Amino acid sequence: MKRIFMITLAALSLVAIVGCSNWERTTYQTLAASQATINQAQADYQSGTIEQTRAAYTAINSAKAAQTTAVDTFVAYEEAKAAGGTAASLTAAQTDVTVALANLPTIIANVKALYIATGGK
Amino acid sequence: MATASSVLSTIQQVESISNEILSTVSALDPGAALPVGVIVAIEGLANTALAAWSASSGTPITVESVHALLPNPEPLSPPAA
Repeated sequence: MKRIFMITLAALSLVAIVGCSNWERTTYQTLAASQATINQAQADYQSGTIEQTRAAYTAINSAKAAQTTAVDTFVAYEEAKAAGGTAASLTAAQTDVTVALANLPTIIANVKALYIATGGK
Repeated sequence: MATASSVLSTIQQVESISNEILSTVSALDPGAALPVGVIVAIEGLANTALAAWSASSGTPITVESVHALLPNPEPLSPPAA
């Protein structure tokens, strides 16, 4: 019975470790893509490719804020991991990151809509 | 202690979010009559996002490399009043 328990515990830990690595990599790539998108939109706003309207100004600043929040939570996760955080604390930190990431699709869609609203310049 | 199902659920959530972001920047409605300039700009945006996705696939994930994902700190020019 104890042997079965230990095997189960090891398996769950392995899933957590592998899952953590997959989760980290996907999260990192997601934030890299959103960062590039938002930075490009800022450059296009500054150059006039996106019309400099109040709506565009607000949308891009909102995108930057959302990206910052997501990155900050991910940094907190990596810091907790580097400090040898418990599985419970790392899971909580992962949840914080995932919640922050959930805002990004809508934010990115709003940024993309700015190009269409501009009508091409 | 995290269960296997909760860990897998978190992974699936992040994968879903990443798919949604990439498909959002890549999608171009074929029925929309957009000026060429807009199409070019949107395609450029998609290429930028996809290139960043690919380029980051091998980046070591550390506190420093994650911190580097912050957006451009330069403030936007405020719109004309």
